Amino acid sequence: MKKFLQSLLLFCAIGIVIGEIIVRVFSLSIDVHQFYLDKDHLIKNYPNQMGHMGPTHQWVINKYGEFGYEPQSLENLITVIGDSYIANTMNPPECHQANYLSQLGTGYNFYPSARAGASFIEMMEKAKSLESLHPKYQLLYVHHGDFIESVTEIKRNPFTVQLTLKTGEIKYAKPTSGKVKEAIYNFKFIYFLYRNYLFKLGNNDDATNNRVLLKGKKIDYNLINELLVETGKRYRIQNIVLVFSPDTDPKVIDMAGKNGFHYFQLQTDDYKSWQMPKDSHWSCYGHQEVAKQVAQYLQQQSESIP
Amino acid sequence: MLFNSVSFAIFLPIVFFAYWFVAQKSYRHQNVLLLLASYFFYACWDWRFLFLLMFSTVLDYFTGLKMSDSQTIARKKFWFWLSIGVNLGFLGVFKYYNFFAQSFADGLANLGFEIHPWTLNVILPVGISFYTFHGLSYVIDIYYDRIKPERNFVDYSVFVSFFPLLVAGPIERATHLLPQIKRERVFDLDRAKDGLRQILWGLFKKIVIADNCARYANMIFNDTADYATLSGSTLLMGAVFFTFQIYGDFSGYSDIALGTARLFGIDLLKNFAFPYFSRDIAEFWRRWHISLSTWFRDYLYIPLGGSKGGTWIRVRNTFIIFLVSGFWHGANWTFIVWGLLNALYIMPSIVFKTNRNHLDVVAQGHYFPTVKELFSVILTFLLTVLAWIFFRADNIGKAFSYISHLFSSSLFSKPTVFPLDIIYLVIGFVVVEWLGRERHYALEGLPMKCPKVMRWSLYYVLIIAIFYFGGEEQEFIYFQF
Repeated sequence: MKKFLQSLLLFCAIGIVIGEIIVRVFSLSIDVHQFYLDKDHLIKNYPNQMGHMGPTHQWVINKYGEFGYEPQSLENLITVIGDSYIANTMNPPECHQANYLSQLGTGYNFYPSARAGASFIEMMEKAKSLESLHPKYQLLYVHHGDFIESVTEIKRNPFTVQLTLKTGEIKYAKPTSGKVKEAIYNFKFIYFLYRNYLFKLGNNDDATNNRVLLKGKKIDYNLINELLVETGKRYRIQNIVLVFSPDTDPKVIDMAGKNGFHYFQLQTDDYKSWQMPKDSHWSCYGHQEVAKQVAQYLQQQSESIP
Repeated sequence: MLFNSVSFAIFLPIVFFAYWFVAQKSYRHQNVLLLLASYFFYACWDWRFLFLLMFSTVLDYFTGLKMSDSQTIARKKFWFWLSIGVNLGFLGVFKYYNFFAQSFADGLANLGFEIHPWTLNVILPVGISFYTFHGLSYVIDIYYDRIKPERNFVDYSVFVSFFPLLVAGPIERATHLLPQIKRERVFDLDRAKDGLRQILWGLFKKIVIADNCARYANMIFNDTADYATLSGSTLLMGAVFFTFQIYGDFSGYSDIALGTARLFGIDLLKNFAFPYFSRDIAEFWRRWHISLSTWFRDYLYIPLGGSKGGTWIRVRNTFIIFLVSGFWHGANWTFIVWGLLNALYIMPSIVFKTNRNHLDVVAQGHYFPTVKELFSVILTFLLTVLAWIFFRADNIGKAFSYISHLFSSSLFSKPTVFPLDIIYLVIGFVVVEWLGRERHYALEGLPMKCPKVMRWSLYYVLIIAIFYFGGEEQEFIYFQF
């Protein structure tokens, strides 16, 4: 038995080394970006990073520390704020929402700003921090799950920004233990096995995709309404436009409108065709379709203002 | 829990270490562990059907004892038929009820009577055909005084439920497996290494060969235009892909089962012996799903008179065996026609008594076959390919449509589906299987001639191929039986 175990261990050890070499040479694993907590307690990425997202493509973090290409100019700006759907590491940077919008000839520059797992309140905090750029509009790509995730009374989640409605206290997201994570990520083969086999995460960059996890769960509309009321008091919402995904609960959309938010809902008869085959995130095609509808909305807005 | 799943990759080492390090003091402890592990393994599919398995186990254990203790022939017969009736009853209800109800309704509809049969909306308990046949062989052997009943319930339960063979065989015999369960097992280094090697080869067959052939076989067989737009050559490709899919799938499963059992010091019955290198259909059936073929031979063919009667008796018995064998695979006319077609194939050798002409391995001791052997192997292979079309088709109509479009002028055109990478892979696989055809499985002993570095390199290449070609976990075809 001893000999058997020795052989087995040696075989596995050599196998791990071979695996590590193959994964690194063929860029089969996923590179993880570096981040920090900024002065506003928001998790931000270090600027100018690039990394592999498996063998198919690379993710890019621009000079402002945001996923995707930076806008050509900061003039006549619209921000594109969201969670993993907008961070969009599962698609190449060419397929990012801000990139598609900038190609549609709306006359605006689009500034992407997103973090996987961001709640509605985190997006509002981001919007607040981007006010210094004087954006014309701040587009927040949301789903009712982002509102649920924002309230500590519904469920405490230390990995996103939340609001405690009772006390009015903002609880900022805690970055996961950097050192341990970094150590795991450095063993690319182990990480490759972990992602592809152990937890079946596939290409999904957002392990805690609240849109999937919250499917079919009951929504506490009273708390969501309280959140919207409180948000209206705390933040400047005049230039905020909530872009609701097609599968958002209609009651939540209705509440947002009643609380003074500008909004519109994306429409499709075939939402599946927008999504990736094994993932609920939008594919390149989905992002294109979304961008077309958003561009049309922006066009209508500019026409309605004399 | 599939053999090709991450959960099994976690489950197996845990049971292995518990078996040899925690429960190693006595084979009784090891048997209790194996039984718990097997029940957990089965419950991972559907825990509700665990009770069916337990009931079947208790029934056969109890009737086995009762038959042995019976003072009169009548009482012995009573317990025997009780067990046979209940076992076949369960199989009939879960596997065949809907088929008979629907066929009966269709038959009446043809006579002008419209009825709407009540059908069962239940899923087929995984492995029911296999563990029922385990139990039946045990009960029949006791009835005919071939074996004594097993008095230890745990040992008997392990015989029925041992997890490597529980869901898709091999169909074991009490005379072969029970003595192994009832003796001390000592860890054997060579056996354990051989077990791991066989598991690796089984995974390769399943994940690399079967699952990749399945992609193209499914693409062609699932054609929505009823094959009208596909060329004969493309349909031939589809049938050949399915031929390798089912072999890679089922023999791969059997290799993993045998290898896994060997890690626990237990040898299971061999289930495959390179059937696609057979020189006639009789040889094919001695090499394909051996544990089922021999089960039918011992418990059906021989009791029916076997080959002892005249030509007519032999022909009748052969047809019965193949009919039942087809029906065993599933409640669908496609399986029945598949069985009957094989009976027709084998008939000339039964009539002319040439069915035992090829008891050795083709081109034994040589690298290359003779022209005659090559021709025989190719012809047998093509006949098998044709029969698999019935096995794979959704219904009889589709099977005939497939065959009629296959034998068209476009049979000699360039196929529209021609994945070169998979074709090279299959050719490489056939070469390795050919080189190892005189062994229990292709890799057995083959690498022993090479230095360790070469051997290990071969294993790593196989593992890399498994990772590279592996996609979603695919179920094994024989789980549905």
